[in-house]
Amino acid sequence: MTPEQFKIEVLPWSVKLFPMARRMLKSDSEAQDVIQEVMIKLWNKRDNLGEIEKPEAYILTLCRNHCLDVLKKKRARPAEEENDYKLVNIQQRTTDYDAREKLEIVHQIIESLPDKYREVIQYREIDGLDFEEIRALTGFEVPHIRVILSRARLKIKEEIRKIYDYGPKEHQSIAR
Amino acid sequence: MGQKNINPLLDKYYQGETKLEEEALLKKEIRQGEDLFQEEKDIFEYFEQEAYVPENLESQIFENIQNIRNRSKIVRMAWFRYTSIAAAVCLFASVFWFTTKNQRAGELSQEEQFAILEQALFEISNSVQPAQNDDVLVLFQDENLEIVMN
Repeated sequence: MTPEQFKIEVLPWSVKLFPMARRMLKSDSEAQDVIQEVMIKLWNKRDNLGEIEKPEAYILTLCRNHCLDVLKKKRARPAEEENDYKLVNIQQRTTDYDAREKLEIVHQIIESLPDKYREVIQYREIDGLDFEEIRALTGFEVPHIRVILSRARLKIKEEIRKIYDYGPKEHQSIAR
Repeated sequence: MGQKNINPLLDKYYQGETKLEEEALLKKEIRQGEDLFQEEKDIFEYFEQEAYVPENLESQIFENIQNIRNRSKIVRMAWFRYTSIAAAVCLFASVFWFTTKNQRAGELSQEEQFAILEQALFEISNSVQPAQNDDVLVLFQDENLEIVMN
């Protein structure tokens, strides 16, 4: 694979992988570092990439495992100051206080979902993965993924409606 | 896309039956539209924020990969260069060391040879020289001739 081919076929994955890496590592710069390492790995393997049966699944899994490795190393280190990810990232791009509060509410609702609901929702809605890609990462069959998605979407809407009807204080007690 | 078209698509979305393209269209319509779908608008806005990717991420990463490739090439070349210099130095050093060692070995062996030669000559001279023997019987002796018997 030539550098040009790599640029066209593999490099665009960095954009697709970034939100997932950022979400897992809770840091823009660490996410970028991980994506770069993944891309270097792929570059070194560029001549064998054609032989991989499902390159999408391979790349996604490679990136996720890389993030997990980084998290493991991070946990091994003594307590490190962790960026307040949600606030930092939302504040950077949204100055309007009300808008920020709304984003924060949605964030909290998604975070409070059961793990498999949260994971599937994030892969689909934020990372824009198709069902096969989600299947590769979660191991769930496609019909099951559809069911999870449907339930999670309805659950999020229901929780938001409750908060908008009764106000943010009510939400706090639900979240707890 | 009007509200009439959004509603069926939204139903499909909540059933988990929409394709990625349909979801993208739905999200775009609701985010940009009026506040008829307030909950969805906020949810989709959150997804959009979370899907944020820094500008020039691709080009930055590509540039870094290129830099790493170039650096590794330079490092590899430097490695070859330094290794060859080190090998040459080793070669010269070993040749020099062996030569001087051999010279020293030659000097030593000459001394040894000299000592052995000296010893040998001494032994020869000893053996050639007739032993002074008191037990001989002198049969005849004058100024020119001595006849003895062992």
